[in-house]
Amino acid sequence: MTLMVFFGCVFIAFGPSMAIFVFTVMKHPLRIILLVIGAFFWLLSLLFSALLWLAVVPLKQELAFSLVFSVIFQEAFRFALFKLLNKAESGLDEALTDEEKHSISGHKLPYVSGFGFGLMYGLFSIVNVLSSSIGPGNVGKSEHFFLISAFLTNCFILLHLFWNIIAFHALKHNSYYKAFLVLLCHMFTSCLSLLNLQQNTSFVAVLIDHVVLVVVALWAFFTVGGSFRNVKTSFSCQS
Amino acid sequence: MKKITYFCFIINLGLSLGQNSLVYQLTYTDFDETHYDKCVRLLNGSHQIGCQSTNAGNVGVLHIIDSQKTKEDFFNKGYLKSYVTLVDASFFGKSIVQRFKASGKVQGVIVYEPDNFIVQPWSPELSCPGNRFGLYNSSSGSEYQNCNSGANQWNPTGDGLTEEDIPFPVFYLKNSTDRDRLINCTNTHNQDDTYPLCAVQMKSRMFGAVDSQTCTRRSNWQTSLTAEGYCDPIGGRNIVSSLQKLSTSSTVGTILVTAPIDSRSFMSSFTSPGSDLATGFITLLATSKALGNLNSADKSSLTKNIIFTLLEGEAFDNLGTTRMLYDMKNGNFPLEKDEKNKNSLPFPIKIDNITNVVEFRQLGNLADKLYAHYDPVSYSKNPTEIDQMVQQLNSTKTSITVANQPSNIGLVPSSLQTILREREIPGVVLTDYGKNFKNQRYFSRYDTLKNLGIKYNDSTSDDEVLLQLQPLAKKLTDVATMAAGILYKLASGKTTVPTDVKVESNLTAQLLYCYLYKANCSLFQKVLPTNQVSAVKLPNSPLPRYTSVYQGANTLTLPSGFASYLLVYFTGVSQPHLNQTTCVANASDQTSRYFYLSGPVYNSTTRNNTCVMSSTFDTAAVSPALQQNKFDKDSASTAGLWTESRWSKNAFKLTMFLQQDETSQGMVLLAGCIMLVLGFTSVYFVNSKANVLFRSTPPL
Repeated sequence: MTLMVFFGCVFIAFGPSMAIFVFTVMKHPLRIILLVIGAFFWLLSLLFSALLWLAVVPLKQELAFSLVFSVIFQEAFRFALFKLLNKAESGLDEALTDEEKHSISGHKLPYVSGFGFGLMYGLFSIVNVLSSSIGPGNVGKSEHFFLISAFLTNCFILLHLFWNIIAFHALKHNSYYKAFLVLLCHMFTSCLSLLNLQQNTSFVAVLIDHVVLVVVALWAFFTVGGSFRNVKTSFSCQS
Repeated sequence: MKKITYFCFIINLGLSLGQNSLVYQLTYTDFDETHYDKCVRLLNGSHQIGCQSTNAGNVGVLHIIDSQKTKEDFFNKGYLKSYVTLVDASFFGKSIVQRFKASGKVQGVIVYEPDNFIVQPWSPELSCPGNRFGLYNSSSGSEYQNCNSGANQWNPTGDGLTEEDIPFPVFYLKNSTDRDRLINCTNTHNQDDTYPLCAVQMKSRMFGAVDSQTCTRRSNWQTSLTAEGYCDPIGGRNIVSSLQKLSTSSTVGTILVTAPIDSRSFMSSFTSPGSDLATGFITLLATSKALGNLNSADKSSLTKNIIFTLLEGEAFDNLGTTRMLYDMKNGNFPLEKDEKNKNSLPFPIKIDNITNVVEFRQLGNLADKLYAHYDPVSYSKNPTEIDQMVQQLNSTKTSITVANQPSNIGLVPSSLQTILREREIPGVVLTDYGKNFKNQRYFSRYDTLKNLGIKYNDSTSDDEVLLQLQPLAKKLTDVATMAAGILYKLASGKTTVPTDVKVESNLTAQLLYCYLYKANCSLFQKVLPTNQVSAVKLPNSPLPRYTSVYQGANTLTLPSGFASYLLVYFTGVSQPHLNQTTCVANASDQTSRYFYLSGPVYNSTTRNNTCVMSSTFDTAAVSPALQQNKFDKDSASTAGLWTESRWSKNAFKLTMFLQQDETSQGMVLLAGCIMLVLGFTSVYFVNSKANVLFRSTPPL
């Protein structure tokens, strides 16, 4: 019967991501390539975090230490990803058809690569949890462990997506303080997850993370040129 | 599709790695496989018995049964679909297991011993052991045939749990820490039936099913490239030792002295010493020592030969006897026919050569009366020889007297029953009981030395145990002396027994000590052949004597192995002129064998190795049909078709966790579905309106 928990958690963690993939990525081959590149860069950041963790023997047990450095590595690789894609973009101009160019033009490029970045993060963070959610048992100490993990995963996938849009835009326009703000935001939300170590405080993390998600989403929305008037228009158009 | 495949791959990876993850440790409390005993599946010619779980393991909410009230409450009020019951050992038995089966809500049983546990009289063996392939049938001795209706119940405390087919796992906790963890979790979470509830998963997946023939047939059908069987024949080696050197050309009349060497229990692989029954073969060994004391001239002057046989697998429908008789019939006893070395083999002993049978069984609860049981049916036909045996037995004066066989009972459960089915031979079975087993824990895990009144704990010294064993050893020695006397008289035809036919009661005490208390003892070390010394590790506990899976020729289990070396040591002829190399190479024919034994310690470190020649052999004790994979129509009616199911490496698992109720699990799924729908609609909306939403300049 715990298959219910398993699928519930899968849908919570990956439901929105699945929608994003189906509606915006699946039909465009170039976007899939970008998605994989983004995912690969996140993996590289994981590799380097792990190497550091291996190397610094005395701090192996300190979660906070590896967490801080992991965030720094992730943001560093986001920067590397930006540099790479920036270089590639000019080269690709020659090779691609207009239609293909259009599919990755403007903010679509950071959007898709950021999605890949976040998706890989999500898979890695929740697979262990999902595997035990199938089994007959429930995590002893916190009854809502699976739910919280699933919501946090979903939250972070979307956060990575939005951060990527903001960071790429900031880096392109040389407003480095915004990129730094993204790093701070990442660090803040990640450190909130340390609250999970204590019982009953994990709800706080989930709540704050979702508030941050809304703020970051709005920021990203305005970054890519959205406005309240656009929203209004989009609703009025429907009628 | 690609994403799904990719996703599945990641999930699979996670599942396989997940076992050691932090999340797993937070969720589950695993119990070490060695900390509990488990009931396994056995198959015979017509049934499957024992326990097993589903492939994934059985899951149930824990429920403690430790009193009459909690027991009845469980059956009347427990409303959940699946339970695992934690049963106090005093309440465990066939009747409760049958009620568990009937209730349909029990997924597994964990048996524990409470503090200050008092062992109840209980035997998992049938109340009429050995009846299935017994001597009596409707045409001969029908009044003794059906022990449940009318005839005598040999084992009144026996409920026959061992023969029950149980569809769920049964574990026994050996460790009080594990017990307390389970009980605490149950008491903390399961008091008021509000979720989360403390539950366990029990896994003991068995491969074998239906019966031995089916299982063997399935094992032989190759359905995949990796050969994987489902069950293996149960069996071992019978030990045969002849007092006289066997001849290659003829066989004289032979007196057969037998005793079962194996034991069995509900949790088969984890057999207790079965102390009461073990006294039988221990007395046989003492008897062989008494007769082995005869000098060579006396031995060869005997007109009849005496053969000691220690039978393996007797707990499984007299498997050892059945095979011995089969081998005798086919001329393969005591060594298998071999056309090449025809002339060097001992002349086969046939059943027609057997003139008398003396069998030793339970003797541990011997008071002052020894019972010499015989078959009343064959006695009524020909009483003289049996009368003569009983009289001769009585004529040796010791502290023990021979009691008359109680009236209206058939022959006790014994190997003799199987022999008599083949041919009527005058024979007696020596036991400590008349009508019912004196041992109230026959084949139970509590049938240890403590059951024979020996008191010991971890701090008891070895000398103390030996001292406590003396009274029992004295009685068994008396029985051995009496038996040696009658055997000598039967074999020689003389009426007086030479004075050297005797055995020290100290030796019997040593035998009891080695087999039932601590295998790591001086006697075992003394008789171990030098080439085995490095291979054999003797534990500081009794050797388990469950027959187990047949290992083929040349593989003796430790209990049989030592029995064989002891027989060599007791009955063999010392060859002091031979050293290690010449000793082993000395055999000129196959009628006798040479053993180079470690021998006693003569100064603190060195052992006085000795070369001994003896006609001691080991023969297969396994069903011939199983050994050759040949079943005929009547297979099901043949005794000894026992197999043990195989199980995989990680077949056993016991893990404890908290279980959520289905409503809250459903809520999680509902939340997931809502997320999915919300995600899809909002992304669809945003995507379709992307042109408007992300337009930098407002429309005109």
